[in-house]
Amino acid sequence: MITMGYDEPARVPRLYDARDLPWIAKLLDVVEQSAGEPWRVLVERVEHAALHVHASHRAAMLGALRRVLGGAGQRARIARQVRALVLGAPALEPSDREARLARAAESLGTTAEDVESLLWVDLAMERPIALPAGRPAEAELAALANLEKIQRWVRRAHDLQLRVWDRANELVRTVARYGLIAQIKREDQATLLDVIGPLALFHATIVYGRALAVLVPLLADHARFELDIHCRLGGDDVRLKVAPPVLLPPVVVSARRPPSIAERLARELAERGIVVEHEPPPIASGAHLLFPNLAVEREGARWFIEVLGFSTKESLATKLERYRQAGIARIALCVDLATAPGQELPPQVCGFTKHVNADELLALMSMAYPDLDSPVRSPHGDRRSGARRGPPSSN
Amino acid sequence: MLEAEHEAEQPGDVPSAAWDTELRGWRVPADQYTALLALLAEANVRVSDELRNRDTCLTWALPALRWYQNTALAQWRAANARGVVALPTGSGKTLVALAAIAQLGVATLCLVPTRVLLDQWARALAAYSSQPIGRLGDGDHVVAPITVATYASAISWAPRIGDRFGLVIVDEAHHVGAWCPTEIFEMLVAPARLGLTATPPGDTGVLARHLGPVVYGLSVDDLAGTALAAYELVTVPITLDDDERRRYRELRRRFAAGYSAFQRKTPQGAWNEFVRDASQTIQGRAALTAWRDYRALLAYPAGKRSALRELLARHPDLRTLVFTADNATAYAIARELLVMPITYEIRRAERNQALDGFRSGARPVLVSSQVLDEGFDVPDADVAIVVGGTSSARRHAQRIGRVLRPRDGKRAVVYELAVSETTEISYVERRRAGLGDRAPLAAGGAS
Repeated sequence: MITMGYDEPARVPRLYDARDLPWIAKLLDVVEQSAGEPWRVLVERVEHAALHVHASHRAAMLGALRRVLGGAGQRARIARQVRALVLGAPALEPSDREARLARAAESLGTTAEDVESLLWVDLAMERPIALPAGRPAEAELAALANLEKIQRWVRRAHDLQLRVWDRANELVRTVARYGLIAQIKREDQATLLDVIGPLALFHATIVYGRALAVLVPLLADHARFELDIHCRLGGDDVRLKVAPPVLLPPVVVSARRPPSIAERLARELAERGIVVEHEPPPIASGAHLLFPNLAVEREGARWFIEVLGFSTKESLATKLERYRQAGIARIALCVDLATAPGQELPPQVCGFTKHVNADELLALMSMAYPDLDSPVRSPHGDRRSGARRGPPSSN
Repeated sequence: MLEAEHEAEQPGDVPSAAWDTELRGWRVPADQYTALLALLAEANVRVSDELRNRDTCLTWALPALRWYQNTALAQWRAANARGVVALPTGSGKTLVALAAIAQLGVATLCLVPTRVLLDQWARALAAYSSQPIGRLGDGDHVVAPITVATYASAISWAPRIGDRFGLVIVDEAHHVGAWCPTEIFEMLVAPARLGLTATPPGDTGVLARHLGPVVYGLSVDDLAGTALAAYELVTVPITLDDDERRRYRELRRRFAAGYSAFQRKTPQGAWNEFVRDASQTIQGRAALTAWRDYRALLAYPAGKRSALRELLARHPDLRTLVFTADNATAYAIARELLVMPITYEIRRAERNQALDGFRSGARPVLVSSQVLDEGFDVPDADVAIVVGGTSSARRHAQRIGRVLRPRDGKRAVVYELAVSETTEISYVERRRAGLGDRAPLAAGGAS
């Protein structure tokens, strides 16, 4: 990765804080007054309410409000069924209309009024405002709006540097889990995550940007952090600096997370009788830190495996060089071919689509370094698993 | 890439050539390909051109063209196969495009605005072609000698496939420069370019630059009764009741107070400047609120409500499209009469079911504010009822085009509901101008 040099000083962007809570409170008054009305009505009312703030702030709070109040809800699931039953030829007479609603109500086991109330309940702007948990707190809205703001900048980033002074593990593992291209360094007491942004990746930028944005909510767990974002906003490249105090929503720990590619690979290796260590301790390589996903014992030797979601030719070369500098010879990198199109893979790299084929990886580990001083190609020729195959190596 | 073979040659003198520091070479935008070849030929420069072979060996079995389609095609070819053909909705623009592809016999990229049109075009091309049709968009990534792409997909694919086509066709070409970004055309070498539209924009500068000038155009009235169904345009005058009238006048007064203050301050100020300015002051916000409220009042007052019922009762067996000024009115009508709304919020599968129901007659009435205006393969309809709309002549022409698909003995009817003595009358007058003002405003109606 090329470390960027910045001529412009970083800007500290204005995020929502205690100064904003009074106008957010007024906005919430409008929300309460609009309970039961369609969202469309609330949006119009908020647009024209005397809040003395720019339209973009109103829109930010409405976005946050949508996240607080949740989606369409359980009743929305039958809205389409209701429309299929009820909407047809025009009911020009009141008796026709009542009869059709009554028939639908009978079929659904509910009342005609309920049927009518369900007609547009799944449509974002037409469903009624509901506050089942009462009036949201002003700070909650501000925190969610801040989160959305920072995530938007991150999604438009060329690169970002995140420094944390405690418990970097979850951030690093999230970087690995989402396959972000990053270098991790130790800097005095801090850990620095130097992450490539979607705009520097040139491909799969939307997918990568979403993945990168997943880091932002985790910042709420850190009393001290510095996030430097070099991003493109409104056609201009800017450098933004975010540091506490920042209102952010508390981190939500998801109890049910699908197993990562590395976890699935670990399970498959274990099924083949191989001793697998999950998330071995970080490896220092000069000032950098390397975070392999797995360490395995194979024929008396210890191997490290790192699964990379996104990659470029340069990032792979750098990664391998860092392991070499750390004195790690037995390393296997697994790269997602869906996000690394057309790359020629070095011998230590196993391509995969969707999941890593454990047998192919083991074959690579056996054949890539029969003698650690003279890497040779696998007898399988191309070591990539799955259907997508890149051009043959020119080496 | 341009490279000089001899010292005296200066690639930088070629118009549009730019030095690429990364590649260390001179580059010319793809759309300058034809002009560059002509320039080099004139200068007797030997050229190695690896892009020449874009011919296809496709055979086409096309139906006979109508007189105006033949004329349009001939005019386009006479203009060196560059230009825009403007024909009304339902008059067979796609067939003109198919004939152009068949006559030129070159690989062709067809650009369309929506996924619905992507599917519609791909099916139309497949029906007459001997080879599979490529699709880019809506989850498909297949490139073939004849490929259809949405504007959005073309933006990302053009750098990779821009050298493969000899002809590019743009459907709904009035979107070029906005929805259809001009960058797409800069990445395409295709010398032949055909734009299709029912409603060319007033300023055709962007179109001319990237596709060519409007080479042929006919209006709805030129074809009504022959290639298009004959139609009757009926304006239905609506009267506000006393309460509505009082409220309308009060809201207009409040709006005028704010707006005239702005006009005094900024005589040349545009509407969006007024909106920006008004949102800063209490008086301005009151004016904006009044503006929004009186438009909501005019969108669906009691008179329109009863007129709509009466018109639907008058044509119980005919397929009818109801057009409204906004989604709120579309939903209000749908709820009131229990008919299907078609809006951007209704998802594709449900929309398709609704259109199937419309085709079969199970759902003979659809109500929409904008979605049905263009970009949808709407089945044949007989009656259009314009409950509300803007002053846009282009949108109005698109709406009317929805009922003009010809059928033996068909005579379509378009009703426009217009609230008398309000701003709505001026909207109706302005959009009528786009149709040649064929009917007097005080035509007979329902109320």
